Amino acid sequence: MAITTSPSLPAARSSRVSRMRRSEIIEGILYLSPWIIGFTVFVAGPLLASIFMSFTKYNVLRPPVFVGLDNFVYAFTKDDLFLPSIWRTFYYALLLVPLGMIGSLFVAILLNQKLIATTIWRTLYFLPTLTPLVAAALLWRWMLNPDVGLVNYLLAKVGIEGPGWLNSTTWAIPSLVIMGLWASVGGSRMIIFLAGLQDVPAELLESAEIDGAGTWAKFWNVTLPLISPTIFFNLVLGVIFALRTFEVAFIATNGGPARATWFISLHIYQNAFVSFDMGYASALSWVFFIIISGLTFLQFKLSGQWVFYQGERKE
Amino acid sequence: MNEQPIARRLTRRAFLTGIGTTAFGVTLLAACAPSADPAAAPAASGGEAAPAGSAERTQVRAHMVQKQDVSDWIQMGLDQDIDGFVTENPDIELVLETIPGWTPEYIPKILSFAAAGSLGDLVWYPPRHRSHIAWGTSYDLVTDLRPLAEGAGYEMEENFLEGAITANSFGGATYWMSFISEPIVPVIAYNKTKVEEMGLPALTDDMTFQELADWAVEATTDDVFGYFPADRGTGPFGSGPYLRQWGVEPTNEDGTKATFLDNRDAFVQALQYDYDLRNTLKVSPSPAAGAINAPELFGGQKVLAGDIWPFRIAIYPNTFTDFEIDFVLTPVVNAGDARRSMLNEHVFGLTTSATAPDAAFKALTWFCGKEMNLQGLVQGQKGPIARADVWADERLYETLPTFEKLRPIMESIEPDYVVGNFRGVEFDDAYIAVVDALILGEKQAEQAADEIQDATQAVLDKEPA
Repeated sequence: MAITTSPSLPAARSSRVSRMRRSEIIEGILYLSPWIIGFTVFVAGPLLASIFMSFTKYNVLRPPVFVGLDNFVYAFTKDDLFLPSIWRTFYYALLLVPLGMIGSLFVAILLNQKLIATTIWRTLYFLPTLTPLVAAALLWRWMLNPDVGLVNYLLAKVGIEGPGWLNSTTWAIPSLVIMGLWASVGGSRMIIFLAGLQDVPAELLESAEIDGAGTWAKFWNVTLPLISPTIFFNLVLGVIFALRTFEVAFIATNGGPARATWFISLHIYQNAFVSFDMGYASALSWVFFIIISGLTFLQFKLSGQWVFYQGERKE
Repeated sequence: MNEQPIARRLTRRAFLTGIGTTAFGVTLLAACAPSADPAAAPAASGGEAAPAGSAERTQVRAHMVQKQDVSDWIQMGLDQDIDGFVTENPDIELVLETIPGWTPEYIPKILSFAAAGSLGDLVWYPPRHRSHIAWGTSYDLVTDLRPLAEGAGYEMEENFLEGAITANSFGGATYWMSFISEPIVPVIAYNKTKVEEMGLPALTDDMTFQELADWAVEATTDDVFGYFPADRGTGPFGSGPYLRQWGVEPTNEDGTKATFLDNRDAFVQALQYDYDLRNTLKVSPSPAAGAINAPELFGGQKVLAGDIWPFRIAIYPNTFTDFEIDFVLTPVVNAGDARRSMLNEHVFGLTTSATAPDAAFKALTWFCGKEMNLQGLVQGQKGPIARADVWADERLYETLPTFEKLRPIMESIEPDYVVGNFRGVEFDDAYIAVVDALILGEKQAEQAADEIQDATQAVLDKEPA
């Protein structure tokens, strides 16, 4: 039996749907509005303003004066601290990221074993992450004090003369790396690795075992490829976080000794909030943003060669 | 019909809609709210002793850093009604608008207030290298106090020592009043108990640098460093009097030229002395990168003697009670040399946007008045001030006899040197970066002297901030 309907029904339904849709859109926008307003006022607005400011001389109290590319030219040609601060930051990241990744993965593998009191171990490893950064930095500053610190005291007990740590231009960055590792190895990166490891199908590992694969072969050929998306995620975030490091150097060394830990973030901070060269600081920030973006883009481009997703078929 | 799901659905929608609308509304209200109501600001006022009918009262808003010797002491002064300020000025409501932290937190907020047109009546500032002149006047933040003083019958010269007035004046106008003004690191504190136990001679007020170094060599053991420049630090600010004692002046009069090498030999000697303390004689821990907490080292009896700021004279004996502490003046180069000095100041100014300048001036003169500051000293709450009447009051020496040693220094105090482009922190950082390398043994004094000159001159050559 054919169903007949009044000709006006689709139009009425369409109109009702449209009214409902409109109402839903309005509701949706209302729900999102706190975030939209917050994002616009506190993120997008300042971001766009900083693009404009980077082409100006601006010290907060006086109106910005347009100076074209002067700030960028100054950074690369006259600012003796800018490029060295970039290299220092990369050196720090180069030490921190691989060591942190390996450390977190190692701890995650340990905690993925069926040990007694696993929850307690996981909590213990996570605890340093919960320590306030300022307190941790001050504590480490004391522990690494070359003259009266605990680390050199213990090294001396076993006949080793400890280095100057934060007091040495050579050891200052490695010291900050040690502090960074202490705070981050057992942190969220380790938890993400742990989740990745727990997602590795047991049947694949069993199949490999039946085929005669040993522990290392299973890890290298099964586990590692399967957690490569997790490694990639942690790597991208780890590089970004390492490059924008600020607090630990600001608190523990304030960029010293002899500017050995004068990272780009400190340089930007100094120009913005000590010298009030807001225009120049904005320019430095954008240069650094472009560098980080470029690096992240490169990581994504290269990821196709070593990141494998489950179910993905490669030619 | 099933009414239950409809009711649940409607409730959830209503709830979510309510939350969304409320959040939106609150945000909108906040955005449209009038500029900060000063009365609603986190404040401390002398309201308790004031009479009812506060609508008649004139509000004076004073911006300052939240700190024991600044905001805390002023609040205590209000609570104690020192000098009867609260009872004698029932028409004034003093509101302390405090900002936690130090200059990196404080200054941006003050500039934001100024940019938003909501700056209060009084503003505190911790100048370095007299940068308060540039900071206050070039940004048109503070006003000349002289006309207000004249109107109120207040004589600047009768109240403040000449060095402080010079430091706070520019082009015939006086923009600031001293709140804390003291000689920079003029004394050495030493552990008298341990020194006597070790059979060492007591330190004296007329030591030379060489004598101090010799003493420190004797005092240094495997567990203890003999002497540490401590509060003098590695920067040209804390080391200002030290450099002057050697005959070195950091900048010329208008702060446009670095003048370290005008007396190059003396400068090299001064740097060499600091190098030797750490590297040759090994009597001092290395303070590079600020990795040492000097008071803790001193309190832990790991350092026998160290340079200190005057405010520690009152604090140390109360803090470190396990041993007796004595204080002596810092050394000179040759016996009998005239003692050089440098002024450190924390000041208050009256803003150009003050809505009640007369009431604000009254509050300002109370902040910086004799009794307020004498009580701050004897109660161990704040540092000294460049007021002759405070230094002449015997009550000070009954509580703090060591201050008697500082009196002649203060009465002939030399102002801080000038960094003409308001880049005092950059100037200091440039100096410190080289001195760090020197005291770490990575540079020799001659090379460091030349590098300091170049690095600091490069800062002075920059445009004003």
